[in-house]
Amino acid sequence: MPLPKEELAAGEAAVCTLCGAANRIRLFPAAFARPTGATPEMAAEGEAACFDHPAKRAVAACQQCGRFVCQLCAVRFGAETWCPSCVAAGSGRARVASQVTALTLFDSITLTIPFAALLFWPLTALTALCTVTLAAMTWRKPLSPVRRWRWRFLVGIGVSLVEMGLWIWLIAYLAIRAATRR
Amino acid sequence: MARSERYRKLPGRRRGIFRGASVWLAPDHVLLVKSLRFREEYKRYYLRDIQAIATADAPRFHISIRSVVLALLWLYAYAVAASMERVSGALVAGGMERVSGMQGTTYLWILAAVLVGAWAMISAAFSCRCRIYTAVSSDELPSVYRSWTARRFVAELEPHIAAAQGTLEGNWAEAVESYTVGPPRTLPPDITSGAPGSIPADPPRPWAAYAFITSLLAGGAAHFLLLGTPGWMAQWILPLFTLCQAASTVAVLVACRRGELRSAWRVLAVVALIVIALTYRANYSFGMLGNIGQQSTQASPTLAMQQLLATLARFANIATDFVAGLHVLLGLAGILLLSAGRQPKPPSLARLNI
Repeated sequence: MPLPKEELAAGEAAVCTLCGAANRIRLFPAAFARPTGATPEMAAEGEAACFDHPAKRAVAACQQCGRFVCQLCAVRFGAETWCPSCVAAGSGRARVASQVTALTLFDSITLTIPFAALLFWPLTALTALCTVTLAAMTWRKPLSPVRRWRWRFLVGIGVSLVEMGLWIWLIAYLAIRAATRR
Repeated sequence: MARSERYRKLPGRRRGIFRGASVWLAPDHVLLVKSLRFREEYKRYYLRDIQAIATADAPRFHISIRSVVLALLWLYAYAVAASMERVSGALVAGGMERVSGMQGTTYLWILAAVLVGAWAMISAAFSCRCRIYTAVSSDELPSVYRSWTARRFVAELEPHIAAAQGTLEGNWAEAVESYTVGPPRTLPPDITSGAPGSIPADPPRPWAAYAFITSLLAGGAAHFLLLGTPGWMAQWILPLFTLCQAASTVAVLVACRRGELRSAWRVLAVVALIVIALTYRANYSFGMLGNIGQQSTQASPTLAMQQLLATLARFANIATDFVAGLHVLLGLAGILLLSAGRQPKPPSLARLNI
């Protein structure tokens, strides 16, 4: 079911002839770029050759293990180049430089626990301590890339400390009351 | 991940009860963030790689945290208004003059109808699905689900992509014929394997959906039918329906997970689960309060206690009527979804040759 190209070119809504839904499509030059495959050149006599492909000319050295790599084997991460073996091993700096694809949000957990425990308040005696411990253990863990502040940690710790203070006050009050009765 | 990267939020944010999504802009890429309460997943689309952004009008019945908060505020206001009306009723019974005019609860029902109508209209008529295409992926952006948000999103992102890639010149519409946008596609079996003109196989029967709708409607109807019957009948029969409703709701969630039902069913099932849990909790609380009240009355039968028990019974009746009505409404919503699902499904944008 092709969409009307002229309407798309004009930037107007193209109506699907099957379901009647309006489609707006913005195309960018990348849509017309031909895929460029890496074609390593043959190594001449005396030239440095790829570690895995001895007949191919080396274009770089792996910045983890130092092996020479051809154009086909060179894997680029930002400004650095690695060989496929180091990337596959996933160790050392490759792991550090690799992009994070998922994170557990410990700051949100720290914020939620003390408030959720208020629904069944006796639990706060346990959760306040757990929250402060969790916050201390995970304070240095990476935050979400789109969050810049640790206010969730601070609020969670603050509420937990208040809960702990109230528990200490309650226990002290009951203890003093029991002592004065005797 | 480099912590020095600064992201700027792009228009659109989806805040659901469990799931959320947002899109952020970095100097060289767009970051799609999908969150599931305490976990976030990230996907990057580099500006130089983005081939197309497609927006297709489609109904999106999303229940956001904002609408849940609004519903809770409405419930609170309704409870206050109903209590005040009860007090004024008692004053009238005591000889005071009734104040004429429409009652507060009536206004609240009108307000609720307007709000629900507006939500339904916006969800049906002013919503869309937005997809982003690269050479190796075509992903939906869940945070861009309203038409006006999609327009702002594209308007804000387009200059950045143009700065990274340049702009299209000349009559590129002709050139589109020989290019394919998005990842290489394999056509679905009903197109590739079927002979020309062959009738595609029927989709699997959504038995879970049928059971879900039936249990909700039957549970609601049973409540109204059992009004005036001896208490033990309702006490034994209604929990059976609750059990069936819970089982069928779980079946619907499983079917959604398997991809047999649309995501709208998942929303409906989650709402139904919340309603079922609230019903169970309310029944339990009212039963417990009733027992305590009866024991207190037997111990010291005072007029105040009897009045309290009578008020409690009335409130329990109103609450259970309300919840039974909710069950029926959810069942009707299920029927609507089922009828919407039987219409011929439009091909996804990934299958379109643009």
